Amino acid sequence: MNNFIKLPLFLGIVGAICGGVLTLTYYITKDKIAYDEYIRVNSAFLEHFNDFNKKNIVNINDDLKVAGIENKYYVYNNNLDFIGTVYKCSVVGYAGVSNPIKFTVSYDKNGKENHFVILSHSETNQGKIFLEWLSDDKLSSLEMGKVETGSTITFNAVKKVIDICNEDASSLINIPKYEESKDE
Amino acid sequence: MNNKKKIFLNGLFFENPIFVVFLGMCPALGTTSRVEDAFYMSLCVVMVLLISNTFISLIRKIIPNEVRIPIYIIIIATIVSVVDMIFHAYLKYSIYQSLGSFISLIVVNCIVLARAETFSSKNDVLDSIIDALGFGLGFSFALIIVALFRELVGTGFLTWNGQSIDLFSKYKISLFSDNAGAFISLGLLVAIYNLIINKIRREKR
Repeated sequence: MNNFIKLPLFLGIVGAICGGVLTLTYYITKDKIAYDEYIRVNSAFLEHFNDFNKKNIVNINDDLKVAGIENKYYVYNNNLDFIGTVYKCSVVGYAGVSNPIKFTVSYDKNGKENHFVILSHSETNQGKIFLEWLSDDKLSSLEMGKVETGSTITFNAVKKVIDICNEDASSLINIPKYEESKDE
Repeated sequence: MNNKKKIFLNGLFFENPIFVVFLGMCPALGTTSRVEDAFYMSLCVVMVLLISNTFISLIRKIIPNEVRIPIYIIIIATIVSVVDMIFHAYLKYSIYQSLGSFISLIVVNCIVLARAETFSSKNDVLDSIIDALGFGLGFSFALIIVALFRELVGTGFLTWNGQSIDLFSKYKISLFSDNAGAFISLGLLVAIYNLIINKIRREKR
């Protein structure tokens, strides 16, 4: 066999075997990768709602954006029934603009406060102690500016945006229906 | 047996890919800010080296000389993609993310291609496996030493699986955990390593 046929044929055979190996590996790992990706992307939502299945992103006005709300989601269960609202927020605390405090706050379908979860923050000293101490029940009972001096900036920033979320969530009148096109 | 020991020790110490031959410098600079990242990067390179050396040695007699390099590249790229998918599926996501494109870049890592071209294409399977282990562990040894130095001196902490131990964070020199610190650390360690290796060589002579 001359080289004109032999070399491309050999390369083709090696390429085909390698393609087969890659396909096989892809089929073995794809479910695990997809499942991990789903958990990673939706971990914040699963922390708020055990029966979370789908979410719809909601358009928010500039006032909410300026206040520190990055995204707002309507959340649905396995039967695609509306189960609540989640706000993803980013506020500037004591650590400054370059290290915002990222958190989510959720409300049940009646607009009542449900849960508060910190996603990330770089607060130190009093700000860090305050965020670790903060919980759902403590948040609603505190008043702005009346906390320990070192954590006042952080507390006020978090409290302000949560008050806005409270107001927005309680203004929900009609139960939103799930829309495939708004799924993120 | 003596020859096999020589092959192994050659890759591990006397021709260490990072400290002596200066191959695979990209991951040595990019993935050595934390010991954990360096460990998983090393694991990935050892796996790729071991599989590619074995496979190339097995088919060395049927590979046409004219297309040997493209064939090595296809085989190495396939192995790297397979290892990448396995790491993506079974490794902690934060670690997979911090290794980033460095896993894919193993395809063009000179150690893997150099061992395929200079050793496994000319030697039997057992010798190729020993060579892969020697060079792979030599690479791992160098990577982990650099990472250990950078993490300890640069942050004062030692972090593994989300758990940190504060060893001497008060005396940290942040420069070493930065990009410039990678070059400085590597330079310092290369100098120290070659000082020791040259001394051993002289004593042997």
